[in-house]
This record gives sequence, C-alpha cells and structure tokens, in this order.
Amino acid sequence: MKRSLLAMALVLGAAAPASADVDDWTDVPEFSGSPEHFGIELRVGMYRPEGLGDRFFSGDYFGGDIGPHLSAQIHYFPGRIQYLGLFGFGFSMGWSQWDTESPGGMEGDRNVFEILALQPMVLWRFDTLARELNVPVVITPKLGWDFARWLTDPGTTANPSPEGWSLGPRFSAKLSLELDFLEPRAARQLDEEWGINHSEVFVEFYYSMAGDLISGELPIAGWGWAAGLGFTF
Amino acid sequence: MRSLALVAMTWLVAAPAFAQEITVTLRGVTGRTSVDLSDLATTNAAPLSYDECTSGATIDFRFTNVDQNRSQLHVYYGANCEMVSVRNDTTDTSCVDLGLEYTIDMQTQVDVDIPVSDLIDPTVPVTEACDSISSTTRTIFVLAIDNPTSEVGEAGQQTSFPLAFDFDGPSAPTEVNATNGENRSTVTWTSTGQVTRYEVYLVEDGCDADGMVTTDLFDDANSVTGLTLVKEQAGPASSTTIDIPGAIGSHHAIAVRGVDNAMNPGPLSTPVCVSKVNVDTFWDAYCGSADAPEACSSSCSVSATPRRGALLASLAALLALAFVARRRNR
Repeated sequence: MKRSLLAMALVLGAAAPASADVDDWTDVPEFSGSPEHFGIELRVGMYRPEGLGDRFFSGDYFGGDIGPHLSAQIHYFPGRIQYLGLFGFGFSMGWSQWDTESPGGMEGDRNVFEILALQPMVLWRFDTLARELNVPVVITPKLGWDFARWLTDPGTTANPSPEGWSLGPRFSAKLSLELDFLEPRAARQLDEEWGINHSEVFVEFYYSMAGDLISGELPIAGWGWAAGLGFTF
Repeated sequence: MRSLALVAMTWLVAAPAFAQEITVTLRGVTGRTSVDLSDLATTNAAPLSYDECTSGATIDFRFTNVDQNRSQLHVYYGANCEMVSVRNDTTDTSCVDLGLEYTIDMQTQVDVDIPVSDLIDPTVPVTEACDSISSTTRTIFVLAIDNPTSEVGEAGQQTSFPLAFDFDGPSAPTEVNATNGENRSTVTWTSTGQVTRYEVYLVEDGCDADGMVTTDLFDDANSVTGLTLVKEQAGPASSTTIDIPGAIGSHHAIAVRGVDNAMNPGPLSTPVCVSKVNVDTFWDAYCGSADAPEACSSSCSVSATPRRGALLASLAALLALAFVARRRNR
C-alpha cells in the first residue's frame, strides 16, 4: 500500500507544471517609487540675531518680540548614492521681522527690524535609515551662504530708514520624521498620482554668520530654528 | 368625629393671621443714580461709604403697610430689638436705640430721609459719628410703637434689614514705578486688596534731576489737594500709561491710590519721579554707542516699503517653478 502511494506521488510530481503561478492574475507587482529629485520645505520658526548685541534684545526695543520667521526652501538632488542618500543643492528665501512699540513714544510709534534672507546651499539628505531599515528618520546637514537684506525703521534724521546687505555662511542641521508609515497606502497613492515620494515633518537648527566676516556689514549673525512640513518628489 | 371637625374649624377661625411686616423700599441715596436696598446689604455690593457719611448724604426710605394705629416709627439697630424686654434692658446692649422717631400720623405709608451719620450715632457731630466705626454691617430695626414699652407682634409693626457701612479704603499700592519717556510713561504697581479703580496723581516739576521728590503735596497720603488727577484705570490692574506733560528735561512726581467698590479712596502710594526725556530709536541707540559698527555709517537710506507681498509672490513663483520642473522630469 505504501509503495503504491509513493509511486502515485512521484507521478503527480513529475506531471505538475514547472511554474504554477505564471498566469496568476491576482499577484501584485512590487511597487517601485517615482524618481526622487526635488524637495520643498515650508517653515516657521524664529531667529535671534545675536550679533546685534544686548540692545536689540532689551525690553526697550525688541526683547518682547520673538520675531516670527517664515521661509521656504527648494532642493534639487541630481542623484542618489547607495547607502548614503541624496546629495544636492538648494535655494532658500526667508523673512524675519521684529515689531515693537517704541518706549516712551507717542501712541502707535514703533521700532521695526526686518531681515529678508536669500540662501543658496548644498545639502546631504541622509535617508538611509528610512530606505534600508524602515526607520522613518532622515538627517539633513546643509551648508549655505546667506545674502541677507536687512532694514530698520525708524532710523535717524539723516537716514530715516537704514538698510543694507549682510553676507555670510549658514550651517544647518535638519531632523525629519517621514510620515509614510502612518498610512503607507496613501503615501503610495500620493506618489502614483502626484509624484510625491515622501512627506515629512521636521525641525531644523541653524547658525548664520551673516555680517560677521565682511567688514562694514551689519552683524546680524545669530542662531535660529525652524519647523515645518517637507516633501520630496 | 363631628366634634373633631368642629374643633378644627373653630381653631382655624380663631387663629391669628400671619403678622405682616412693614415693607421697606429705598427711594434713593444722595449722590447715587440708582440704588436698591440689596445694594446696601453687604460690603461686597455697593455699601455706604465714608464720603457719603461725612458729606451728609441721606437715605430716602419708604415704609408701607404700617400699622396706622400706632403713633411713631422708631429706629434701632442690633439684635432682638422686636422684643420689648431687650429694648428696655439697660444692661443689654445687643439692641441700641438710635433715638430716631418719625410720626406715623394715621398713615400706612411713611417716607423718611435719614442721614447716613444718623444711622451710626445721631447724638454726635457728623464727622465724629463717621469716624466712630469702620467697616461693618448693622441690622436696622424699624418699629411702629406708641411708647418704648409697646409690644410689636401685630401686623405692620416691625421690619428689619441689613445696612453695610464700608468706611475703609484699600491699602496704598506698593512698588510703584514709572518709566521715563518722550511723551508717555508706563506706570506699574503692586495692587492690594479689592480695588474698583486706580487713580494716578501728578505734580508737575515735583522732582529734581536726581530723581528726588521735591514737592510736599504728597506728604499727606490721604489728601489729593493740589494734585492733578492724570489717569483713572479700572481695576483690577497693575499698570497704566500716562502722558508726560512739560518740556524735555522736566521731572514730575506721581503717586497712585486705589478706590474700592464703596468709592472709598485708599491712601496714596509713596510718590515716584518720572522724567520727560528724548527716546532713541533702536538705530539711534545702536549706532550711538562708542562701538558702533561701520554699517551704521555705510548703510543706505531707502523708503520703508512693505516687502511681505513681494516675498510671498517670490515664494509662490519658486514653488511653481519646482512643480514645472518636476512635471518635465516625469
């Protein structure tokens, strides 16, 4: 009895097709993301131009104002290096303003200081943890050069509204949390329909040396932070 | 059974009706636009103030449902004054006869004006009466009687109500400070107690250049004679702003006092000085220092124009460019 069963099994095994799932229409092909060459960031935060000294932060002037900072960045990544991540360059536009009531002045008298910063940069998006280990954390160091246009109002009688340029390097480090893990299906759909590979929330700390290196410029150097929402696509 | 019903009916007929009290309403208080008896009932509402007492303000009462067979309304304060034994017990001071008598004159409604000080002690001068008590609440008894020995158990023969006297103003504000300024000074203080409003008083040129108070108008903390009231700030508050009078370089003395819900002013705070000075803009202060950077002299001057719109437009253009590039790439 045992011998006949074994023979039947061998016959069946030999007669079975070599590949049973060749025509399995229910099989889902492995997802392959769209090319990832760009990134954008929408950011809010604050900046402290320490280089302007204690007077700037005194209660008489801008000490009572956190100085809202708004900015946006766009990045271009020509390519990816396996296990190292994306390398590229980018451009940033940012705006900070301090606006406080003038001490002892008339009702409505105000002191205003404003910085509009343009910044080209190079950056390294180290996303290996997310790509290789499924840890949704990305670290991005950036090195840029600030072209910061500043202005203040009021100035002096001779120079009622002074303004000028301050230039210098900026060093930044960004820590991101990719949001794909919250809803993987929606993340894939976002990529398929819009080409957005990843969305993320992030926080970035930076130090600018604008005005510190070139004589004659207003030293608006300082540190700041920004948080916001980013996308790569 | 029938006898029980008869007894019950007899008792109902024979039982005296509930003795209706005299009804008291407030027709007015001198100097107040509207007032209710309940306003005067507690020190938390709108009690009688020291100023009302010393200025001779009167309370206009209307008593109705008065027993017209009695000859006079007699006013007492204290406790148990409806009991003749208490009223006439010279050793018991729980009920005090104010000695105020008003003729009923066969009327059921009697209007009387009673000075505030008379409700304290009508036998002494007004100021002395007002100074004799501090904040307190008295229960006033008004009895319709013929003589001191009259019982008051029947309808229209008695009423009682509380009257609150708040004669103590709030404590003087402490830690008063005033910032110097070109036109405006911020005055701050630490508040004390329940204060309805604060008053800031100023004496022009009341200080010297060293910040010392030179005027003697603040010597009496309870007097504002000669002082200029420059600001009334609703309480609770711990700061206000005042305009600084005079010329640049002038020095003025200011002090603050609180006023409570009964409009009793407290004593003035210790006076402080405020100076009218030129105030630097940030740029003045920054570039006026000895270590002013070169940028102070090299910066250009332009008209300040709003840049927010231009910035937002640029950001939008940047994003649009990114998406166009992205589409081409795909």
